[in-house]
Amino acid sequence: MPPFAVPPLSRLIDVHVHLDQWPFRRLPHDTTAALLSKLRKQNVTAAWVCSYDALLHRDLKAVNERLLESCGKSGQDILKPVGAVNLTLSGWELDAEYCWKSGMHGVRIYPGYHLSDLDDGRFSALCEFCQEKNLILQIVAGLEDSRTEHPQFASRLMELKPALELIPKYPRLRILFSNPGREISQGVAARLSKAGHVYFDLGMIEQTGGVAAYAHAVSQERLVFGSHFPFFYFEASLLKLRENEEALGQQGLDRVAFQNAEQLLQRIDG
Amino acid sequence: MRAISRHCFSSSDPPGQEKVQRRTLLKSAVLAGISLSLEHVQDAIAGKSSDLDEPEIWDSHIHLSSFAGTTPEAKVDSLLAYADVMGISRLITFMGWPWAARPTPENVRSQNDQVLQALRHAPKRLLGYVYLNPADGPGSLDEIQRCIVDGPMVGIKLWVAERCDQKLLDPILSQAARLNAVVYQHTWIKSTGNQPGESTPAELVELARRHPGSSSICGHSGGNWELGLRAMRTAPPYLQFEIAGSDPTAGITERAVRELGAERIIYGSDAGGRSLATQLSKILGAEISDTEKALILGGNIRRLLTPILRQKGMLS
Repeated sequence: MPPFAVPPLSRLIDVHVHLDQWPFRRLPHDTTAALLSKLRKQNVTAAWVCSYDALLHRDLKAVNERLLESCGKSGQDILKPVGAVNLTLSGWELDAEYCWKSGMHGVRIYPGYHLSDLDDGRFSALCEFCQEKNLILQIVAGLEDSRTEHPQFASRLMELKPALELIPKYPRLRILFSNPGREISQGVAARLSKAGHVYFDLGMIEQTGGVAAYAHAVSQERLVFGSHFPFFYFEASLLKLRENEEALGQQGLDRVAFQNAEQLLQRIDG
Repeated sequence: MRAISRHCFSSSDPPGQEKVQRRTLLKSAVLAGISLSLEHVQDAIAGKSSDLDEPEIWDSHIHLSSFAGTTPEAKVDSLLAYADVMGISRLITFMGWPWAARPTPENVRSQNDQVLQALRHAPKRLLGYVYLNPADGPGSLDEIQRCIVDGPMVGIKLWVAERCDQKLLDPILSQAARLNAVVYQHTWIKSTGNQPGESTPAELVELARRHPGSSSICGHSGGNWELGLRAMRTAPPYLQFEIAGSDPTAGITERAVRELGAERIIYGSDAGGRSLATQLSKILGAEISDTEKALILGGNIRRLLTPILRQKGMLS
C-alpha cells in the first residue's frame, strides 16, 4: 500500500453516491470511470447512485434513462441506479413508475432542492407507491452547508414533523434519510427510527465521536454507510468509522459498513 | 479493523540512498505514524526539508469545549483518546468555554486559564494559543504577557470580536512578531452573511500586508474556500491557509496546493465540533503527493512554530 493511503475495509455498501457533475464546480471524481476506480479501490461492492442532474434538471425521465444506461454500460455491477423523482413536476408518477419498471430498488427525492414539502399529498402518494411496489424511498436531507451555497441558489430546510406523523401509516415502507447529520438532530432521528423502517446514512454526521452518538440515538441497526461521494472525499466517511470503531465494536462496524444496507434491501412482505 | 495509528501507514522502501540516514529517517517516521515517500527521503537527506525529518500529524485547531468531561483535564483525556486512534501526535488548542462573540476581559482570562490548565495536564501533546478580544487593547497585551511571555502559549487566537483589518489589531500583530508568536485569525465568507465582527480572508490579507514580520494563519480557508483562495492569491507569502472546520468537500486541498503551494497550507480539524476524521480526509483523500501531505499534516505548522518553541526550550 502506498504511503498515506487509508487502508480500505474488507467490504462496503455505499448508499449515497452521485454520477455526473455537481452543478457549481468540477469535482475530482466526477467521471464515471474515475468514480468507479475509486470505489473499487475501497472495496465498495455496491454503490447506490443517482445523477447530480436530478437536482436542477426538469426532464427527469431523461436523467433517469441516462442513469440507467451509465450503470448498465459501465457500472461493472457496482453501480446500482436509484432514480430521482421531483414531486413538484407534473407527471412525477410516471418517473416513479419508470424507476420501478426498470428494476431499480428505490427512488431518491431531494426536497431541499425541488422545494417539495413532506406534508404535501404528493409525498404521501409517493410513500404509498413505494410501499406497494417495494421500493426504498431515499430522502436526501441536504447536500451542502447553507453557508457555502452559491448566492444565487439556496436549498431549503426540510420540515420533518409531517414525516413523523406519516411514516406509521406505511408499515411496510422502507425509508432511508441521506446526509441527516446537519438537518436531522439525534433526537428527531431517534423518533423517526421508532416511527417505522427508517434508516440513516453517516454522510454529514459531524463532531468527534459523532457517528457513535448517532448510532446510539437511532440504534446501530439503522445506520448505514453513505459517503456523499464525489462531493465529499470518500475517505471522510471511511475515517469516521475508524474514529468511532471503539464505541461501535467490530459487530457494529460490520453492520454499518454493509450488513444494515443488506437488511434495508430486504423487502417487507405483509 | 486497524486503527489509524502509528502502524496504519505502511512504509515505502526507498532504494539507493545513504543507508544509515535513510534507516534513521524511516524509523522515526514510522514511529510517528507516517511513512515517507522516496522523494521525501531524498529531500531530507539533501537537507532540503530538515523540518520534516520526523514527520508527525499536528492538528492546528482544537476546541476542548465540545469534548466529554467538565474539567480541562477530563476533556483533554477524551480528546487524546480520539487523537491516538487517528494517529495525531500534537494538538493546538485555544479558547475554553463558554464562548462569547465579544467576550469580556474576565471571560477572556477565564478561557485562557482553562487552556493553561489543559496544557499543564498534557504538556507533551498540547500546544496553546492565547485568545484575545482586540477591542480591549491593553488587556490583550496583558494576556500576551501572561500566557506567552510568562506562560507556555505559542500563538494568538482571534475570533469574531472585531474585523481583523481594523487598526486596533496592529499592536497585537506587532507584539506577536516580536515574540515569534503565530496569529490565527478565524475567517469566513458566509453565503448566509457574516457576523458583525467576523473577518474575511481579504481583510486578513490587508492586515498581514501591514505586518511583514508576522506569521499569520487564515483560519477555515474562508469557509467558502474557492473565494478564500481567490483572496489568498494576493496575500504575502507569510500568510498561511488553514483548511479546518468546513465540510470535507472534495478538491479543496488539490486546488489550494495548485494555487498556493503545499508549503502554505495547514491542517486542522476544529474538533470537537468537527470530526477528526472528516478533516483528516481532506488531506489523506486528496490527490497530491506524499511530500505535500506531510507538509500540510504537520510540517508547515512545525516550521512556523519552530522559532518560538526553540526560544521557549519546548522543542522535543
